[in-house]
Amino acid sequence: MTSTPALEVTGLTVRFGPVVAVDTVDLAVAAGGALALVGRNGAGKSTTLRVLAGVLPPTSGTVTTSGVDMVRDPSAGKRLVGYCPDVGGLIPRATPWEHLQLAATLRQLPGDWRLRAEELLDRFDLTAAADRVTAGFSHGMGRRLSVVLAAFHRPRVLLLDEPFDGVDPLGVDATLDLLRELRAEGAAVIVSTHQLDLVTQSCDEALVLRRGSVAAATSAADLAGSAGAARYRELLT
Amino acid sequence: MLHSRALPRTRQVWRDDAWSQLAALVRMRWLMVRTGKARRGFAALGLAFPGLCVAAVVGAPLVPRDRASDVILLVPTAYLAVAFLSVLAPLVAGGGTELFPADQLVAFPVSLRTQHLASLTQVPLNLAWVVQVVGVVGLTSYAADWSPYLPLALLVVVSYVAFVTVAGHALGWLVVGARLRAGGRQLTWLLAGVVLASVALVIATGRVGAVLDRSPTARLVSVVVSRGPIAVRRSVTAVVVLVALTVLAFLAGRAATAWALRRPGDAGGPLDASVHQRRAPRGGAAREGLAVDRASIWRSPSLRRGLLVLAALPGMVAAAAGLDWSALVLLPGLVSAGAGLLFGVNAFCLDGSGAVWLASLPGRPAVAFWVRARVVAETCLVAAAITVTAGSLRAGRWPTTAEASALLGCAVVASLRVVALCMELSIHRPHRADLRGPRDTPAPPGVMTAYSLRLAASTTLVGVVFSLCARSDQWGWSVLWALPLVLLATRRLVRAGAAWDDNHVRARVVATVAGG
Repeated sequence: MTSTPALEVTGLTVRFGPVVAVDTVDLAVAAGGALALVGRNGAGKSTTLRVLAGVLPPTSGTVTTSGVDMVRDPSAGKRLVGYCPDVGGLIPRATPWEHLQLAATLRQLPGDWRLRAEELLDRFDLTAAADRVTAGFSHGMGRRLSVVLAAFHRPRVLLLDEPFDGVDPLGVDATLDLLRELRAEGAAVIVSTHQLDLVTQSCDEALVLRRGSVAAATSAADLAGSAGAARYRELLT
Repeated sequence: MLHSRALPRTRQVWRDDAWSQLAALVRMRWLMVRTGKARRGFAALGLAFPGLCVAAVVGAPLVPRDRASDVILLVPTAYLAVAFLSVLAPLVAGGGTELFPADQLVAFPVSLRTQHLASLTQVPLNLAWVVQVVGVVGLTSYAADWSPYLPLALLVVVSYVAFVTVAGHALGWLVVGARLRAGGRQLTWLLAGVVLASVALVIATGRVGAVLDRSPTARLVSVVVSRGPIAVRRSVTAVVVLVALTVLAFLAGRAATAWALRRPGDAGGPLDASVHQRRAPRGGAAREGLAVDRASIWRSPSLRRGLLVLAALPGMVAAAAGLDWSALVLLPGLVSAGAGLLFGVNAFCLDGSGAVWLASLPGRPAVAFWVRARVVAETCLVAAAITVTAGSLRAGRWPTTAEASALLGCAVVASLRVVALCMELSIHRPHRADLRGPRDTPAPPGVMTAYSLRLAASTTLVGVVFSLCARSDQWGWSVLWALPLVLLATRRLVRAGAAWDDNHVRARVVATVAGG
């Protein structure tokens, strides 16, 4: 793992009126590294990821992705980032292939994007559903497609918000394999999840958020097993 | 310890009391109107209908009676139009109107009777229905002319409106249920085809007047205008018959609603499993976005149905009425307003939860804005073009230069105003609506009424201005009016585009349409 952060966040704060959703969060992920964002519902994990994906402007703080300031130049930053949102994240009446085609156009991918698209759909067992509208997808299928869309362009920073939620074991394996592959290629990964066993399988480090702030930064291995789960529960309260 | 009687049993709370459930749902909907200003607006809207009816009753007899016989000749057709709309509106709405989208009520034991009742009680939120009803109330008042029999005449017309409205709903749900049966879609298309062909035949053979003369509503009008002791007897008989028919239609509608909504597949089914052929990349962000948007519209059951009706119906009515060119000029505005209400007033809801993913993709935000504006404009202009083309078939001659320029000016100005207002509303008043269900609307029921009022007011005004231009001999008047109106609408649209460029505004729209 190199020491240069692929993603660096300093003093990130997001306010919605009187509510402070994210409060001066600092984090950094090196190229090839993986960080888990964990915490209770409403702790600020999804809001943090939305800011890192360039979807939500922060109230204050900086987000730098491979040297690009996401706040000042979100369009350039979005080219480097792949994002799987926490809810849905799919256009209801478009097919997976149409999602991939739109992403390829907007990301100006080279002509061989179809090979990559077909390979990912196959790995996530979505080939048979590639031309069906996503409105009819199960929750797990939707999650798997969101991961495919996030990883499609081999991003330098991959942001996955609840990628394992409702996904069957084979889908979880496919996601974990993909994470390993992208990390080996130098991508920095952030995964937000409530599943501690998958935190230890997919990440090196973990950041525990509590009421919008960082409650603890720890090794993902420290959250493993029953002792890790007990420690995690203590950090939540 | 919790006493066993501390919590009421579910059956006691949610016994089959449709009115109680309806009251709870209405209360919930009212609670969701967060600002005092909006609540006052909705309250005013609620009072507007009875207020307009009273105004029509009081004001109509004051109209000079020099053409009374001509006006009274129109009354049967006006009554028939109310019946036509009462049947059509539920059909267009996919059976009826919902207080909440179906997916938001899945956790609640809302009975099918409640859904039927909720749909009926929302009929006064349909602006077209309100206008028609106020119209027939006014015409009835004019026909009865301050005679002592006016209250009886009004009672007859109110009973008639109640009957056709309730019966229209029953028919609407019946058609929805039939479509969900094996071969039901083919059967309903066949029936629609037969009806359309019959109407076309009547229009083509010039027998519209003869058919209207035989309308059963003519008998009703004879009751309304009758005088003397016989008037009392005939009116009371009519009211009793209509009330009995209303009760029967209500019961039939309740059964039809249950029959329709108990069928699997109402919430999507065939569409959700549909497979679509891959198309070649369009080459460019705007073109690709446009292709996805057009597909999103056509694949939504409610939007597809709305588009088809909007494309076919106004033109057919215009052709049946045999409107002249100066009257045809009014149509592009009205049709544009309808097109805007399909999805334009909440244009970004087409993306559903995919809005968040789309917002994470690179590219200029302005492209997404202008692509969406273009899709709304296309919908307005295509619907207006079809309507005018169909209506012109019976105009009897080619339009003069003044009429042609007025028609073109009205289509362009009205569409542009609708697009500008729609994009403004889409950015500043977004709603969560994925338009997946057959009865989904882009905004909640009361909000849709307010939007339809705004759009109709704006486009009717434009229509009237250009209709006057069409009556002049100078085509230049249309150009003179069109230029400033186009500039004003363009400025509004550009301002909406500038608002969309703001990251915070965009984030709020995305968060709302994606998940509330």
